[in-house]
Amino acid sequence: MDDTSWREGEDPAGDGRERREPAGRYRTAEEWEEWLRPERPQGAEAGRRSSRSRAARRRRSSAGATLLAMLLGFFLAGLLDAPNLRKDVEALPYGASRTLRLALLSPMTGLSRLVRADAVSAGLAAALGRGEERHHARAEVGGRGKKPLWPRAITARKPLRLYIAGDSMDQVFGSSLVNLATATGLVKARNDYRVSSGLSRPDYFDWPQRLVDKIVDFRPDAAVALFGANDAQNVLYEGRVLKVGTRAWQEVYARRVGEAMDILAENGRRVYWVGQPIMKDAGYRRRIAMMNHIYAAEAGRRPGVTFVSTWRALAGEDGSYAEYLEDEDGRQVLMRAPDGIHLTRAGGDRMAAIVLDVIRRDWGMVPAASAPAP
Amino acid sequence: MLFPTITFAVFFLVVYVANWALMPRPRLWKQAIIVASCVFYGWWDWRLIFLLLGATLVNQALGVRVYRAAGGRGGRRPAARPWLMLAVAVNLATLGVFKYFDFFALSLNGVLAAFGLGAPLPLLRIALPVGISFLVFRMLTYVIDIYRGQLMPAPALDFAVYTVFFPYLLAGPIARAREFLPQLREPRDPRAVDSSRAFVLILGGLVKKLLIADYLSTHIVGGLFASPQTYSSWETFWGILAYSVQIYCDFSAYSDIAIGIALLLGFELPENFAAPYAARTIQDFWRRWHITLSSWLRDYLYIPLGGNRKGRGRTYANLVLTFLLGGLWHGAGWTFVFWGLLHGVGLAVERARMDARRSRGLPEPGATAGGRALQHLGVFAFVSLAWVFFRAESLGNAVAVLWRLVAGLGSFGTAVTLPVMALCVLGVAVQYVPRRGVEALEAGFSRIGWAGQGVALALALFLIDMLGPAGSAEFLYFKF
Repeated sequence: MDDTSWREGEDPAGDGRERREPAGRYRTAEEWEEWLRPERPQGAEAGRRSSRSRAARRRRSSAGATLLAMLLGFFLAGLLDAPNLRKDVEALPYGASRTLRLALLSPMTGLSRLVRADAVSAGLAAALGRGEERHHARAEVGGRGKKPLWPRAITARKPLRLYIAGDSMDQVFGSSLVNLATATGLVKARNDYRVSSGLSRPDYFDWPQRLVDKIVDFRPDAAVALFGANDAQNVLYEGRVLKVGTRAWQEVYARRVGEAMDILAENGRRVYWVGQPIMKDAGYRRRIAMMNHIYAAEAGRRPGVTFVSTWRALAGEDGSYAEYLEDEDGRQVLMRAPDGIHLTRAGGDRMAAIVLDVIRRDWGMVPAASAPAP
Repeated sequence: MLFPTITFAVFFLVVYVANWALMPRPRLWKQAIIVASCVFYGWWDWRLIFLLLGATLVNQALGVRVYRAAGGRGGRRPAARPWLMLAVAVNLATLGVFKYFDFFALSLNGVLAAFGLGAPLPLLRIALPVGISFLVFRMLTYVIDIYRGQLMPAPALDFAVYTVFFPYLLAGPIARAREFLPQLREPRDPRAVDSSRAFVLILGGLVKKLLIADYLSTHIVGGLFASPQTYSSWETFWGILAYSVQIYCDFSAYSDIAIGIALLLGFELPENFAAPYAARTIQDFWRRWHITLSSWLRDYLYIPLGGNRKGRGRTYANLVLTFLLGGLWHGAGWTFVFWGLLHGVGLAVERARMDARRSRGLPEPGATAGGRALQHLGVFAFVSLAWVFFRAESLGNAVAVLWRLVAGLGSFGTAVTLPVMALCVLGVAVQYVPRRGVEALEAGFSRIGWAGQGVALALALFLIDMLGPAGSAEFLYFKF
């Protein structure tokens, strides 16, 4: 590889000076000029040269032998990993694609069982302590205390313990709420999100159990929930697959939402159920709106559960989906991720500010900085 | 299509068989690899295929124009210069529209609004096509090298293969046209596939990506940058260290897998990483980190700017400018610009110190073992602190993270677990493993025959899936 930059009559080092450093000093490998020189192998040339030097020790294979190695590798890996592969496919939304993949995987899982290869996976999972997590019982959520959790005075010494749970939307929103709430000096918040999860598929991720475990461990005074982004999919109920959006689906989904609310609201705990913001895709937007109605309705049936709508706050002036919105200073700020669903930090902050405002009013909180001196 | 998925494994098996079956018929082989690459790229969004093919046609036409205008001789002929400028403008405009339009419009609107002039520029919010920065840089090497007389225009079909070749399509390495195109003319021998090196690279890449990078991202890095004020100094220290390891393991994993896949198809791609955290100077770091980008910046930006041929002051300025633009290449945000600025200034300061030492006749730094250790530590600390700006959502977020290094004293927190510490230490320690160790592993792997390799592959894939997280996050460099 020649470099014509150095054909123009400069000295090799390129700095126009005589090389006057004494021998043994300033090894040119340390100099910027050296980085510019073509003789140091770079890129593919380096790869090719070094490959050649190693080639003597490394045997090459034929394309056929390499194919056999790959086929054998994939086959044996599939045999050993069949239970995990099946679990991954089962987590897909109910529909033709899931059914087809399960059917394709079926011979492999059958063979894995037949030759007991699945025992390796189970043994390794057991050795790693998978599936042995200790869970709390629903009865423990009630807690030991007799005093009601709400209302009480919130002070810096006895801050509000806030538990935030949700799906991937909660990743940014929850951390924004943690940031804003922590900055008041009156809240100790913990965010607990799980991507690709939701309430419509307890077979994939058991949120009710997770809520029980976290409430018993963290003992929050209040909880914030943001679910729904992955819930617009068919559900399995009593052996039947219910199509998303149908009346039967809405009834089942409402029951699952209600169950989560009941766990969170136990013992008088205040619950703030956050509605999803407006979404870009029209079909998805309709389904999200439908679920927001379910959240609002279920919250309305339960004392202590407040539905907080964020739909309008992230919509444009005309009520339509907006990527950019103006901040308090009138500057345009990007609110949404390129997928038209998730939030940027500014979007998360905007939603979190709305929710925190509701919480502060509910608890009569005065920010630490502006609190009157005792 | 993501590399670590079953979908890709099935896709690759089909492509692999077609690749070697069609090898004796070059024209058909080229057409097949173009179709396969379009399927691979179109898996994200089929509309992107038009961008890919459109860019190919335009650059091929401009490359031929440059060559003809130079009278078929190349060598920087003035007559070819307008066509070269047009090619550079078209490629940079493509990048500008897709990647930077909103960034510049927002910045300009902000300035105008400050003077009460409103926000006149519309925001387009164009979806960023995956890998467009890499694509544009590949295109530029082709046209510029023709202009320089280092390359002749390739047949259109060859050039299309170079443009869309799926192993490096999304996130590099940035193979240059003059390195890749000759490989299309050389026969690829189906009896001599460098499979052992390929398998070691691919499996190593999967381990780095799925077992190290994704784990650290989930367990400490993501939380630290999302809510820095809830992290102690101890956790922040490890979080910053973890991000250094994460970005290395993530990005080098993609390069390794891409190189491995290309090897299985009979192609050699340039190496992209060479133990970067073992560097003793910032300059040395850039010889080892993302080598194909740094050498691209050197050859197509730094040297044309004048390099080090126009005096010390210009050299320092060129360094800063090169890395400032290199930073901007990574993303449309001030955090990336600042990260580039830090490296540019770091290189300029380092260079100035070397110049000063040289003029005073002082010995080379790092003559003792202790001095060398300090150099390693200093460069790693500098690079790691600079990564904070690279990762942060905003400059304020970066400052908030760095502030926690001193403001979070007094408690340890719970985020720093034994696996987090072990993976961080491992991620840095592997940089000091001698290369001959890896070569011995590759050589050993090549001697166990196809059955042994198959069993080893199976065990490795099984263990990686068992130990890794459910699903795989995208590679970080997809968004650059």
